[in-house]
Amino acid sequence: MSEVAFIANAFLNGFISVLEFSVFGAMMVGIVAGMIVGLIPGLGGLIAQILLIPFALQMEPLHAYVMLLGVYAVTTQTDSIPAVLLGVPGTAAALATSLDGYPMAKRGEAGRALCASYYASIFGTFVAAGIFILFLPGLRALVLNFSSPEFFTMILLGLVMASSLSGKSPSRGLLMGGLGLIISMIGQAPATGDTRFAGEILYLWEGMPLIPVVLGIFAIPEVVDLAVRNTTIASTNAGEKVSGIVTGFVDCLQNWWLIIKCSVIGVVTGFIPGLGGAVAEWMSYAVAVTSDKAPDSFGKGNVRGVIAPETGTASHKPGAIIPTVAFGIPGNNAMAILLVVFVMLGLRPGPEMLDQQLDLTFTMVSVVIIGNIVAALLALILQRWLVKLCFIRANLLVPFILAAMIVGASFTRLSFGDIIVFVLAGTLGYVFKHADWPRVPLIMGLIMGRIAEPYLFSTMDRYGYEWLYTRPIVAVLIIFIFLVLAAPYWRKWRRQNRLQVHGGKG
Amino acid sequence: MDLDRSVRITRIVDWTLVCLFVATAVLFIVLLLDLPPRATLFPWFITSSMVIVAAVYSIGNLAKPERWDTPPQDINENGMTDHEETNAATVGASALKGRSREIIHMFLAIYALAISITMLGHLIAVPLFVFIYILIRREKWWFAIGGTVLIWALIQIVFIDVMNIQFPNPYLNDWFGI
Repeated sequence: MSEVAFIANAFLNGFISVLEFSVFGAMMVGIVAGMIVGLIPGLGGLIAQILLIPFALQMEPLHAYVMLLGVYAVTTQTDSIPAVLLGVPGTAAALATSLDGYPMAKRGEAGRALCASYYASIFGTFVAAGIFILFLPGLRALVLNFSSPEFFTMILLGLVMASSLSGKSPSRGLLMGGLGLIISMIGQAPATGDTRFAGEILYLWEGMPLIPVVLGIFAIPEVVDLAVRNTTIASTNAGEKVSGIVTGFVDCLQNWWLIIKCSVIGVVTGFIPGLGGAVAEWMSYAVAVTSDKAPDSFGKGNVRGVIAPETGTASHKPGAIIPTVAFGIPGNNAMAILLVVFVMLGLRPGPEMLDQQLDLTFTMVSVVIIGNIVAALLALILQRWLVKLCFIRANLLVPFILAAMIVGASFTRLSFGDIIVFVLAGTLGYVFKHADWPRVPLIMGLIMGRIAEPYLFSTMDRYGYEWLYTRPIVAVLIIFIFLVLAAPYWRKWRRQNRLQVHGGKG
Repeated sequence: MDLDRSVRITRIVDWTLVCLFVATAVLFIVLLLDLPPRATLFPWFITSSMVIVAAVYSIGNLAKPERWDTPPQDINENGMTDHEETNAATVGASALKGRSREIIHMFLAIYALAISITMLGHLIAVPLFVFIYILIRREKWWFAIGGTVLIWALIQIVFIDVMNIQFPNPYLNDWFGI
């Protein structure tokens, strides 16, 4: 009973703290910024988050977390506006929404589709938060039994999962993760204080700065592509009349079971590092299609084709908070970026986040819930004006975004080294992006290397090599690592076998 | 073998990146030799794993190169693709084909901005970049002036005056003793 009371108390504290004026204000800044930048063609919520990092680092930690989580919460809403009204998904995670949302808009039901998507994301977030609270006692018991060997192995598992799942080729993901880990080792060794791999470059003695690397790797490629394309992605007319607040709500109520199923999918995919919102969305869409009496109606404007993916992506968000705060393993790209800021602001992922700092964890979850509702309401009111952002020309945006990024990159150590790192990371990021080498494992390696090394050091100090075969959780996690590594090859072998069988029959 | 030019370029980039990764791992292994064992445990583990993965990747690549090529992307009616992990970022990637000169120009602009910041400082270089960029792109002159003033005000008032951020002293100031 005391466990339930402890969790309920932490939830209340977390929820109430979001409603404080300054905290709510910081969240609103994040929501508005996320809405504006998220709608600009070619940018999206992730870039909005990255652009706000330098400002976040100058703020009180709690305000900074809340502001960035506000951006995180709002992307579901901004994604669906161009996806439905223009048939142009701002992100890959909104692609499934556009499949049925755009046909609905073409037959004059844009308002219904958009409102259904907003309500679906609100309901999805609520169900996901419920699941989060429901599983928290079990998760707490598990995490509080973890010691440094388990945390080290868990981090390895997270990195291997992210590397294997975030791209087409697992080897490329692993190599990128490895590169991130190598870069994370530049600077002083945590165990001895010896300087590693920095040579005579004083700037590197403190290690590779995270913010210029993240900004460069993710944001420069997008800005360069935006500048080169030099058009808006939207070429259709935005003068769509938007209404359907009641119809969208009724649609969601009628499809309550679909919402619950898709929420569970969202939470589970959020928990698995590297899967991303797009996987949650497509899996939810697949569930909607396969469970419908008229699967042929999908792609032609079936409202269930809007509700399912929006629920999946929305519920994915609270789900992704769990591994990020409990194990330091980000559940998706946005969480990887957030983890960078969390670590820089002094937050240490681990058992404390589910124990002494449970209030803060619940504050984060509450921000995602409240932010989602506020963003949905704002989107309902402002969508006719917001959609105009899709038509801004790149020429007018690029210099300002670039200026904001380079100034932001300089904040880290206030040294020209920041700018050099930013530009070099950007050049590499561009190559990686267009050569189809996943960038997320690199950033995750960079963050997680700094967390993993002290765990390995204390593990070896306390247990020698015994921890590899005397601790059951470690053994299970190692088996999982091998399963994750083997899974793509096994899938390929099965596919080939199936093809051979079909070929033989044919 | 009559390979498409873009496939050839992708493969060259692929190989270059693998070689770069292996070289980095080997360099780090060499650098580890001078360090005490307690500082090298984690680096050894990572660098050697990376060399093994790179070897597996290279063997797979040599055995069946087409497996690693980027597949043609589905493009919808708006000229968009649904590929890559950072989604928004990838919108309209197909529209970039055959525009390498513009890409190089854009990177040169970024390098020029970085160099000019080190020489002139943030307060001059960044607004100047905004002004020149907008004019070169043939947008309206009044927008260029407005944007320049806006960025200058942001740096001076918000960052320097309000947030008290001490940007590094530019080299020209050092050289002329300003």
